[in-house]
Amino acid sequence: MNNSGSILVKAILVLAIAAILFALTNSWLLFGVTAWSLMMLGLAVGFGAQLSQKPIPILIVGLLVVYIVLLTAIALLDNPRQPLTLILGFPAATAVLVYGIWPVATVIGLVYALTFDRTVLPPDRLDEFIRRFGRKDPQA
Amino acid sequence: MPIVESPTILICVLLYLAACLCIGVWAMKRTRTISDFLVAGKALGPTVVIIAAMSSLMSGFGFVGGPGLVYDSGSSSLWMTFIAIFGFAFSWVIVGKRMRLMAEVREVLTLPDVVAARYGGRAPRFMMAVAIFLGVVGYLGTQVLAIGMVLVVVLNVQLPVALLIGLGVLAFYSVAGGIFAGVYTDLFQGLLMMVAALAVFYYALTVGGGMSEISRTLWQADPEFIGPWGARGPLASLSWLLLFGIGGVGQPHVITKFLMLRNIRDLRWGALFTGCSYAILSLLWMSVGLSMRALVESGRQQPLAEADLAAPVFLLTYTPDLLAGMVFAGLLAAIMSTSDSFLNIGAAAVVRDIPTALTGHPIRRELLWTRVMTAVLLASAALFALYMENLIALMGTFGWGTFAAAIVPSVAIGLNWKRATGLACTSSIGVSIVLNFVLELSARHGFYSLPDGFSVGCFSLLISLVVFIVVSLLSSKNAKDKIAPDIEAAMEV
Repeated sequence: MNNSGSILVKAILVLAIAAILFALTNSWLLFGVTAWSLMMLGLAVGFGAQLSQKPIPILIVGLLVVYIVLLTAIALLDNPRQPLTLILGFPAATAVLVYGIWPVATVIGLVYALTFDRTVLPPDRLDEFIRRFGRKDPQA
Repeated sequence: MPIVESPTILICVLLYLAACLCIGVWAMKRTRTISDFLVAGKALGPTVVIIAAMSSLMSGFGFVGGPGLVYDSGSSSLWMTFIAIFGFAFSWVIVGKRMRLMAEVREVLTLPDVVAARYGGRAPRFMMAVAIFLGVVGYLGTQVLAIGMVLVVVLNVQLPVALLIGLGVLAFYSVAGGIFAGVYTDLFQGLLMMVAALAVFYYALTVGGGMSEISRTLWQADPEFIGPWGARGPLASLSWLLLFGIGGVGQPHVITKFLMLRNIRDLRWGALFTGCSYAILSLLWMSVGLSMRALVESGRQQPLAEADLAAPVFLLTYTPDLLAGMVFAGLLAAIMSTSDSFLNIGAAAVVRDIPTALTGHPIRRELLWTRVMTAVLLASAALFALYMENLIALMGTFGWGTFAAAIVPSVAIGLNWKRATGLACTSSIGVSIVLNFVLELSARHGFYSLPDGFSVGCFSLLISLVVFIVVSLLSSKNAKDKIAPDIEAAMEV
């Protein structure tokens, strides 16, 4: 992994420490934002050398924004003292969880599959890897 | 527990057990080497791996504990199961390619093999094997007890007899057919679970009068229960989100499936379809708990003695016998599909990983001894289930959180970051095991609990991540030079 990868890992370190502090002080909204940021940074680390390939940066930043917006929406809509408003069978804030947060992550799997040859496993890089190391070595 | 009296349910369960035995016989003929036994000869297609990964993650906890949690505390646990779509995609992105590339060039059959190839030395392999063994013992004990309890209900026999029947079937196909039998029974079991979950979802909504009616009833009783955080509150819910979102990478029974793929390019659709198929199972998790609670709140159902009875009571009271039979078979399937994976990696930890870490090579006649150890593990788990239920409950705390905290940093970060070191790997695993155990014991005995229901597993995972990165930064002088060229190349593709 190159320098940008090391920066990402150091950012994970900072966010993990922040998450611990937010948890211990019951700052749940900040903890939630930090948790989503950690998860998206993890994704960025996973894409490695292909991180800069389109549409990965857009996917990661876009998802983070969407998740933070959804989390904020839940925080704003969640008010047990107000009259019940149902959206597709659920109270409004819960509906954001069920119809928003639950399915959104399918975008990651979809992008992973549709851009597999560019963003996950470029055929030339795989061929080069197999050519150099493609052997079975039981002693290794 | 209620007792099943319908012959239809009994027949469904017996047919299921017979199907597992048939798959075991078939798989036995295909299992000739240790590679066949542990990673199915690296010969599996994408569909089998996708369904097997999904069904081995959905244990009995998902089919019984999940609805129970929803019945008990409303929407809180939905954060745990809804994030699985992200969790599977995350696993595919962060370790899928790396692990499968390593298997392309090395004889990598287990997770400790992966760690040994990445970090070198014996200590990382040893610590990883110990972490896996502790997690397996805890998980397996609870799963075995669950198998016994389900068969007590369905067959109306005493627990020892139920264990003898259930574990006999599990032992036969796991010992004889190894992971070949495991993944193909997982395929059958996974499909069964999905059909059952869809049907139960329909009945749960119908019996409850529709989702809107269920929500109204629950809102009138307690608005927070059906609110987005449930009764446990936002911090507990969000800690589950983080733990289950990235903790899936730390579940050895799931990520070792990457090593079994025939072709690395078959990774392509797994990130999407594994999460989607798991989402179908989440429908059962959500709907049964909410519906049962609404039935109780509206006076149509007596309150349950225990929350975990939500699913069994719903099935026996509100669904047709044939569907109840399918779901009881699906419940057994969920438990057994997780158990066979644990048996496989647990036996490998004892026979292959720990001896290799201590002596530098695996023991001779590895296939034979792995089969023997599979049987020994199962027998031990049965004895624990019969005579040491409290110990099982204690060891059960070495579950998801322990795996996540011990494995995620070393594997998820370590396979993607060249500055990660073996010392960081062993340190983070050690810290995570001790921390999980101490915090769980402390909470159990009332000494100290994390604030506002924050998950112990999530806290341990965060500490373990910090330890791993800090120790790596402090000990990483020339760490990159110590990585073998083929492993370094696998980290760069």
